[in-house]
Amino acid sequence: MGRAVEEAILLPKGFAILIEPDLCIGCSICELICSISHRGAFNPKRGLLAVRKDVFSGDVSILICRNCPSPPCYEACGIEGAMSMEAGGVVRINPSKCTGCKACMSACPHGAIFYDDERGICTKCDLCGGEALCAKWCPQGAIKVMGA
Amino acid sequence: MSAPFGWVGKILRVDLGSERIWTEDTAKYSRDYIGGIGIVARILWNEVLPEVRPFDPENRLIFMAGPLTGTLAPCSSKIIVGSKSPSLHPVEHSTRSSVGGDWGPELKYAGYDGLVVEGRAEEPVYISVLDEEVEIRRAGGLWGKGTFATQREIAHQLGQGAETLCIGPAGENLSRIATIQTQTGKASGHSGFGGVMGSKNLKAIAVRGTGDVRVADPDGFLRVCEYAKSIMVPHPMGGGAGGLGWTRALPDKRLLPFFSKYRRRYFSCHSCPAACDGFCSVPGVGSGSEKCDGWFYRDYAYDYHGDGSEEGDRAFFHATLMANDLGVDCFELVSMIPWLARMRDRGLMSDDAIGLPLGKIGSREFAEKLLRKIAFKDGPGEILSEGSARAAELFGRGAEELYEALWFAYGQNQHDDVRSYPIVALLWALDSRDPMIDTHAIRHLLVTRLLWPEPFGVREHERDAICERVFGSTEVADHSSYRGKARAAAICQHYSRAFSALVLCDWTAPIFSSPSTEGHMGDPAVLNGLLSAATGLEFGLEDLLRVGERIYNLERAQLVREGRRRGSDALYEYWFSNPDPSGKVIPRGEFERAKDEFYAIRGWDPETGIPKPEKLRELGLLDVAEAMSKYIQGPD
Repeated sequence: MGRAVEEAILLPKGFAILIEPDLCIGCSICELICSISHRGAFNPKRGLLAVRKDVFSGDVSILICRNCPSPPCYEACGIEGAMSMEAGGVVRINPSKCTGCKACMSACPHGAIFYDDERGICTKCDLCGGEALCAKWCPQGAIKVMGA
Repeated sequence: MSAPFGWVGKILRVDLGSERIWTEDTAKYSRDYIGGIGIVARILWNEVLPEVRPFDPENRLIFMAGPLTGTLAPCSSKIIVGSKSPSLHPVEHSTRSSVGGDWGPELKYAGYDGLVVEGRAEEPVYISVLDEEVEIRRAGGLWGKGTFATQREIAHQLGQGAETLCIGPAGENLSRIATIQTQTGKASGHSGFGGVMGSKNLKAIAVRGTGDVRVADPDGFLRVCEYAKSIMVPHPMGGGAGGLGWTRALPDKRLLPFFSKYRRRYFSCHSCPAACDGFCSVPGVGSGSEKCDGWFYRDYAYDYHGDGSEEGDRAFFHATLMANDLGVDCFELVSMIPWLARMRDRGLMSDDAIGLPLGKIGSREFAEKLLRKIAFKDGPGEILSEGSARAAELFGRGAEELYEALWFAYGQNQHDDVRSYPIVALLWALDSRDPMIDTHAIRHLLVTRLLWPEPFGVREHERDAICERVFGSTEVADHSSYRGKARAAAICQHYSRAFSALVLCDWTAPIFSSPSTEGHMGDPAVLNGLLSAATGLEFGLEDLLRVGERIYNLERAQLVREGRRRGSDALYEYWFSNPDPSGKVIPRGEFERAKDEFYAIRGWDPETGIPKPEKLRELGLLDVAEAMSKYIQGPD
């Protein structure tokens, strides 16, 4: 079976994340490591990425920030200071300013921004400062860090 | 009170008769029994009295996770299911089963360490658990549907992310070999608990949770997880990341071409890197998981239609999907179909008597008719729905003799050869059901790993070093005698209960041997390491195995109360008198002496096989000790 590398995501300092959904086994390990590192607890539904699997069709999609060159989320955000663009083009959400209006969610073409109903704000992948723990822990290489 | 670490603190209780829903604190049980199989054993002891029969409303259907469920611990997806079993024969004993996938972790995220169902609903219902919102909902529209359609319909009703356990028509119609299913090929299969669920008019249990599972020491816990993963990956039984794929690890060449044609991806259970599940799509049949499920029909289908033929592919995969959809235990069929074929060949069974085209075993038509007969109890031969053991009784002497050649004990069909491996024979004789279901780790070490290629295979001297470490002796690996097997069996039982209390999957968890360490040495201390870091309570390996011993003794007390004695710690006569290919039978004298030794090691009465009160008191089972003293004094 041929494998398509879905998309290369450029990261700061010349790294890139490669996503290969065909390799994904739907184990949720990426969601678990994401939630424990960002939230301090295991809670796959409250991670900053999501794996959607359909066990009846076999379809899997990995929803993670693509770090778009001209990020539609950043452009859609109308709240002063709620989103910032860091060196290397990484968009971050400032939780103290975000109002949870979901404009960024609607603008994101990849379904990679999530609404946190506990805090009433939007959340997204912050690439773990470049460390990308999801890629480090993925047992199949469905999410990989390449480059440097 | 905030939730404890590892556990989430509550067990959900549902009485379908009174429609009462309540919770109890997990801490009531977890201190002595940890979780999973341990809490199952305690609730069975407390609440399922000997006179309760499997399909009575008073029977409990218990689903129990453990402190590692829902965490990043590798291979931690499983839950233990417990109940009085309709499939065990001749006595309907209390027993256990397990099921992986994503349902158990979802229950933890919803805030519950387990769920206990009792009573009987007046009409078909399903239970929905959406965090703290628990409802008993009407399931009239779902009744009669297969497990695939049921799960899809519930996902439609409850929204994305709901995980569902459900029964198919086999469970609804109280087949004794009915399963509880989730996804397309994961089941609590071999204890007949689908029928218990059907007897409660309970079609499904759907769960969606958005809460946290917290661990006491996140950094330390992640370090143990990383270490555990490092000694288990690449997992030989897993399909991804360099594993053999367990269909290749076993002497099973007919699945390889099938998988290369039809497999679309590997799926894993929650938090497991092994990926045992091959998801296949076969044109003209459908899509779903294929692993051991299809064994029951694969060889017959290829023999009937031609090896590697597309019609053979279709017949075999259709049978797998249909069994999982109707909720029929595939593993029972592994022996039921050869049994029917042998009766046909000896002229003991006609098409009319059984209502099946016995000349067409291997065809799609035969599989469909057999599975429908079991699930819907239609027409002649509906006795097959009761399972092979009870059917053999009805069919009489010739059928019973043929039956014994394919089953080992308790109405449970063969799994490894009890003549070839003394440790396996003892484990079988001293359990309530097929014990290999939670002792695969020992099976891999002593049997399969010697056959596998590098890096997975274990050489004999490496195996011996591992046995020295785990069992304190290499005697367990000497299959020529029963020497040392009683002690090894006890250790295996403690490990299996420890695994199933945490709950980890014995197929995949890093334990005795490893593909990636020096000398293939595994590390059992991973078990207590994960438990300690998750809960913040210090457990040594010995502490954990002690809990395993307590659980095993409590299970035994429950069996004793239900009538089990030394005389029933046995295998069918066939295995003592018919040799294996190398000429071995079970030597009766040695076997009985090993049992003597086992009861002595256990602190059980050697005459009756009843745990002695002083042993039970030593294990902290004071109330059980008091109850058992009555049985020791009473008539056998």
